[in-house]
Amino acid sequence: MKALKIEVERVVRPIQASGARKDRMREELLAHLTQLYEEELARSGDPDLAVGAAIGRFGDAATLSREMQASVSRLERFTYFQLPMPRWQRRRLGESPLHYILRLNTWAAVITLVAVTLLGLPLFFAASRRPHRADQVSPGQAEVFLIGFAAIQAITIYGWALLGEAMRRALVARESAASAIERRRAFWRIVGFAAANAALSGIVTSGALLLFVWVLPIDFVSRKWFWSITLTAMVAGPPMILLQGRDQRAAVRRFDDWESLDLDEVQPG
Amino acid sequence: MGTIRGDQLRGHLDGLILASLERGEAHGWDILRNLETASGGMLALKEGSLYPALYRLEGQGLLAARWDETAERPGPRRRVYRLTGKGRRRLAAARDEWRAFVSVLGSLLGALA
Repeated sequence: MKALKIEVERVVRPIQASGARKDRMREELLAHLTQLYEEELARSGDPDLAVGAAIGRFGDAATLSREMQASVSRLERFTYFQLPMPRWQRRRLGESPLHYILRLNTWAAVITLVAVTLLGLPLFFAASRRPHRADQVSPGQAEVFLIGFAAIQAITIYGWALLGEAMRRALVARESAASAIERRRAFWRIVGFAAANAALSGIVTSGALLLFVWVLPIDFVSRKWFWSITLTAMVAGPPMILLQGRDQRAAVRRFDDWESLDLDEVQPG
Repeated sequence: MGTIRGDQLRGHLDGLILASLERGEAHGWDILRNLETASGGMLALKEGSLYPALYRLEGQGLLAARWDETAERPGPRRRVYRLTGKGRRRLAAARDEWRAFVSVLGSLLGALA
């Protein structure tokens, strides 16, 4: 029932805690409030009155929220402290998860690009004004480095976002598979996306290392270290994207079930 | 004597929850009903206020919880709480403290009467 969910969300939304903890609170509080509602409905027979009475027995949302917050450890409160999110950063009602991710990551890419340009341009102009020495970065190298860095960060941001979303869909497909064939197909999709992230991690890591090796006038990284770092990134890629897919699955569910609720909606009773 | 409200229970709710779970595991709903029954209807808690206490006790390792996957009723799942060994020791300590408190206040009030 929507009115009961809104009341639960009034309690839980302001709490600074992990998403998993807040999901647990939501489900448990909703179970209790639903049971209160059923008891009140059996007593009065009027759904609107029952909602009002159940919410009244449950307690003031702001007070409960404060008490709930106090039950969360300081470390968790600090870790999940969030400033109020600007409107443009929030997922809009009716916006698909993929569109939201692309929109958000485009902003991230633009902000990074602007920051890199603002930091890099003064260095570039400074380098182009003085006579070039063999042991210094040339203006041409600096230019290629900036462009290369921007390309790598764009590939990382978009590749990660798209693979994370693809992994989320595959996990949802596996969960809701109606037959063994569908389940197996979803499993192989998961394996495929995990392998794709191993490749992506290898490409961006080796690309970034090569860029530094090429532009820095010191022996930045040996061949042995180059391969060690690249292979470590490739090995870490599959579990990382699996975790990202699971996180995105939880976040999409959280939004669809709870965070899209309008807390200003008028309650009956 | 009127009903005992939540703010009058401050400091004692944790002990009451531990005592309620001494006989076995229970959902939040059942814990409240047990407390109501045991108090003869004298306890008037806001129902939601039980959960911050449960989470706090769980965080302190005095309670353990699991989702009730066997529930017959449809809808959101409930969590089942049980006392841990640490919780049993805390309950015993809380009882000793309460006996000492009642004894001291009893003798003082008796002396003043």
